[in-house]
Amino acid sequence: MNWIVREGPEHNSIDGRTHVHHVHLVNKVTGGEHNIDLLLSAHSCPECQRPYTQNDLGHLDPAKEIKAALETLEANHAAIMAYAQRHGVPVVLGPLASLLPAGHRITTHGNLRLLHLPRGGATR
Amino acid sequence: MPPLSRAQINGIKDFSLRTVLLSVHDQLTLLNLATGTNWLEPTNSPQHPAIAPPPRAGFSVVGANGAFNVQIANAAQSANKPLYHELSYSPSPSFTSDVTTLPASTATQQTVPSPGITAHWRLRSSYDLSNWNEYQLHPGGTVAAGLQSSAASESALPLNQTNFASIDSFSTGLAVNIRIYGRAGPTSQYAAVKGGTQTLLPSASIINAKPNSTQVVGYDGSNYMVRNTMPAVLADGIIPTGNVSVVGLPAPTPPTIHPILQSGYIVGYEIVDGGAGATGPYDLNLGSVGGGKNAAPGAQTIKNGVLVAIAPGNPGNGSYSGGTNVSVQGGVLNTPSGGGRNIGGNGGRLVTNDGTTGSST
Repeated sequence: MNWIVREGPEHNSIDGRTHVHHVHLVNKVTGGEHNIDLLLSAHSCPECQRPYTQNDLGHLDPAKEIKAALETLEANHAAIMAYAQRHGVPVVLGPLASLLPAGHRITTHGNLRLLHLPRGGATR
Repeated sequence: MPPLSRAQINGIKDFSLRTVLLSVHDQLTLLNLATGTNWLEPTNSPQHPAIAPPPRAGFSVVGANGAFNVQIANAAQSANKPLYHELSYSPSPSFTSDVTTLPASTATQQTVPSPGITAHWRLRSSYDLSNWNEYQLHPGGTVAAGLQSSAASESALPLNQTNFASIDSFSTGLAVNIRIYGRAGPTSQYAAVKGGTQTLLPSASIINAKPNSTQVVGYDGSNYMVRNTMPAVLADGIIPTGNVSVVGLPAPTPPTIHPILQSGYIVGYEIVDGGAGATGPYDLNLGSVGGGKNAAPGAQTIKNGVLVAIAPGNPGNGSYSGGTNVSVQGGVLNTPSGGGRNIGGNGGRLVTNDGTTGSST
């Protein structure tokens, strides 16, 4: 998988003050970033504005959300890489890029880091 | 003749003589260091003597309001010579990369504007800009210059800040989600511009937002935050992203309710099935009532979208038939269409959350 949950507890944890479950996803190859925030809040009654008493928030499944997001991001990544390879276009990398796939190479141009894909063959 | 040393003088038993000679020795040593010569052993060499570097100065660096403030304390000295200081800083503690070296100066106080920079500092000093003493690292470790606070700015200062985020919402049936993304669609990052600097910020999925509401989203450098009002995302350190009208949840699955009759009165309500997805009380109507009148259910208790209890309310006039039933409607507020707009495309100014139509791309 090129997309992963960033390592470290701060990248998959609940802020106890704001009641938000923060999950930070990163693409090791391109440095792409995507956040998932699950709001663990209690909604309010639209009539009296009293907050509903939440149960166990069973309708939220963070593992399912992360899995779905990773699958989508991974598919998008594969499509972008295939496009870049087909047209011979380098990919500008973000600062979090940390993995150089076999057969690829990186060049720098000023402040840019560019990933060059191998000619032909699979690029995942 | 060997150079005169403190050890020799300390060997003299006469206290007064020893004190005077030590004082003379120290003065001579200082002058020798400052001039690079030896006054007791002058030479005829044409080579310019090497001037010994000065003793270390003390220094401290404080970061505040987007600037480093450096204070240098010269070491005690009596030589009347200019003392130059060279300050340098780097994000690397080993000063192996991205080193910024300030011009050497005799000033003992310097302010270096560097908003948002966190750096290690070091100092060295010289009498002649050639012979420097050893670098000394800032004793307090890294220093953060911080950012200029709002308090240091004009009120309502037009900020050259914008972004190109798309922001919208959709319902998954059980929850309402907000999406933040770039021009290439969901999961693509978007550009945010502050001054002349453009950065790419993460796309995001915010799950379980409040349905049927208008929310404002901001980014604090790590996480997104969802707030009810725009001022809530205007604190220093937060990048306002955009506002969004959050869709409502879909029509709930209606509950099944049977009235509980006793001698023609409706004394309660049996909830056979609590339904699902309610965001508000249901409209309950009694049908096939026979001669019954005036009965009305009491308050409804809805937990997590499920109707769990109905208070007895008004039992009626005691003439309700055994076939009385309860029909159910509503249970959800009107659902506005989802959508939103970024706070980009604003001519470089932040906009208020006034609900005016704007670009959403």
